[in-house]
Amino acid sequence: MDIRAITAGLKKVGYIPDESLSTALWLSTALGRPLLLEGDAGVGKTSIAAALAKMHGRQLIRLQCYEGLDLQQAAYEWNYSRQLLEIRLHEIAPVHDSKEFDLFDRSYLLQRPLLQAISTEQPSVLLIDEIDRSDEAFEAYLLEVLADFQISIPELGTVRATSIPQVILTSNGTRELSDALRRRCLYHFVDYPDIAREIEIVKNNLPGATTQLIESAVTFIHKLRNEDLQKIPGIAETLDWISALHQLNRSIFPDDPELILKTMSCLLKTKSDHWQMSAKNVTKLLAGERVGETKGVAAGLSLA
Amino acid sequence: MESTLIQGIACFTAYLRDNGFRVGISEQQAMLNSVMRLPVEQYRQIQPCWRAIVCGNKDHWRRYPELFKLYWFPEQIRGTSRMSGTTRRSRKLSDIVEDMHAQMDAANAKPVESSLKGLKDESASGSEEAGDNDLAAGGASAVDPLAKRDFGEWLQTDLQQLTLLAEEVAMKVRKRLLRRKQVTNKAHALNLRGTLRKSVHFGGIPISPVWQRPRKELPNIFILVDVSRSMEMYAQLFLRVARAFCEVMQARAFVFHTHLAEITDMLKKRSGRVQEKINAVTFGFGGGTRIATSLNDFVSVHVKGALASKSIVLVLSDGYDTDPVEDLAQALQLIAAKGAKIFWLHPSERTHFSTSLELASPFIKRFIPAHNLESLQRLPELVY
Repeated sequence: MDIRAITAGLKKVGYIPDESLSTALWLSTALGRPLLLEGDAGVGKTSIAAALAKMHGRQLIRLQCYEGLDLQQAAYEWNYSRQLLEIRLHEIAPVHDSKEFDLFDRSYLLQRPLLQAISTEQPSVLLIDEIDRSDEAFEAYLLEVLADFQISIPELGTVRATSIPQVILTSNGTRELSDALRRRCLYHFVDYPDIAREIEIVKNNLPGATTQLIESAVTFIHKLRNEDLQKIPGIAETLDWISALHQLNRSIFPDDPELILKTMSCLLKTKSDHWQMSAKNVTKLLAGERVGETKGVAAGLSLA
Repeated sequence: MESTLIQGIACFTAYLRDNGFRVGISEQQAMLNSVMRLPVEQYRQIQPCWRAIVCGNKDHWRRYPELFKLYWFPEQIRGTSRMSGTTRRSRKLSDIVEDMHAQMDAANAKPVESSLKGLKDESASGSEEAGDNDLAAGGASAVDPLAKRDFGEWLQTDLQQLTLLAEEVAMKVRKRLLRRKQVTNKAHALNLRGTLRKSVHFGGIPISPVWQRPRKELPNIFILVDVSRSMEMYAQLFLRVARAFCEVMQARAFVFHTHLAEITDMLKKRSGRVQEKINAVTFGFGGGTRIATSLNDFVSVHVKGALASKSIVLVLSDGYDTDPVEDLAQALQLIAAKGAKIFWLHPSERTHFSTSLELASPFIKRFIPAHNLESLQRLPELVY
């Protein structure tokens, strides 16, 4: 499958990629290396994995990372209750046969996402979501899985992959990932889409909304993204907002700043952003002006 | 046949390394692999392909297209000058790739292994050369080592390098702080799942309990940067250090001269507008440096409740205060009373104590000189 086919395939399943993303996905498949997607929340990192799985008709296995995630929840766990039950049965009832029973047999093993991903017959898509939220120890453990696609289980030995999954890791950049992990992955930064692509995305997701509404709303959001906001609205917010306007039976973009402001709770997700946006500022944005232009004087604090 | 391409990749990766990219043998192999797998008519995709391979973070991602263009298509860049010492390329990337594919088709040979071997050999010889150069470079030098140069003498171009080093320092401090074990008289909680697992060996009887491991938690770190006129020369640097701490250690950063303002969120966003925002924050603060007032504000308003016994407060200032001399000691006492450890980073080798700083010194755990990179690199040993 070449780059163009990936672009077409993703479009077919409802994800509009840009060329560099398609290239990164192609490369990830061609080289068999995991792809690390970084970007702000709400730019569609997780949806990429879902779309990829749908496109290839593969199973999507998702591992949601969080602080305190450990091996038992991510890779495998022994079914302790079953093991204990087996011991009790063995004690109570006479042995069925003289053969020793093995408590650490594969049948007592509970597969968690990582083990499941390398044990499926058909290759799957493994999504390791928000890796930056997990602990460093878990990140270190992940290196073996990502490099060799194998998991070492002390009681069983090394479980090698029966199929190599396509691995997608996502990160919001809340913590710096280790160099070792980064070097095992290909990297793609998922940025906010340009106006044309975002219009296409919205049209694809909200076929009922009119073109005029979509185009005006997306243009407005792009202006809003240039403002000094604490949380910049992502694609998910765009979709929510245009959907809300559509639900309010708006076929054209409202020119009343008060009405726009009322629906902007779909876009602005922090207290300070809400405070910053008044009807006057919305009018400014509609007129194509910047709201938060500041003229500073402090000496030489360039951090750019 | 593909030696031209290998040479091209090796030189390009060396160029990227010079620009702070971490590109090793495996990346070079992947770059070569990608070229071989890419149909010749899609050679334009090499740029995004290599971007996915060599970039490791957002900063690299943003800088890469320009570097690629500068290296492979310098004729398309207007108004730039060629740096002396860079390897001159005799051919274009498109020609090299096309040529390689043509020869591959013709020879139908075993390109990957041999080319990778070539790449390794070349890289190895390159590193040998570098090693030789290193050896040859020993002895007297007319150039000031950057690490020992005073921050006031740093050029704008050096500051980019400093960001990376500041991040390294922050990582080292982080490791050091995480490694330390706190003595606690609180009993650990029972790890039920672990206990159950261990009890399998004893037929289900929980003979040896497993305890929850204490979580490694970073102390709260607060960085206060003096941006008054007397610190003008160092403020830019110290803000970079503060940003590294914010990113790596979730520290909270503040700026002050006559007032105090929190800038953590601004520093976390790597945009060119940070300067604009900090300017806006400090605009109207007026002249002078009111360290004691700012510290009082810090402890009673901004971090009220967040300041705990494990907290670390780094004050980056020269200590010249226009408040009454005894006020600074009182303000620091308030912070120390909460159990926080105060470290004073001074932008000169020898701390020139002002009277107020002299009076406040009992509440400061350590004065740390931060006048050059070498002194900054000692930070991990000195903090805590």
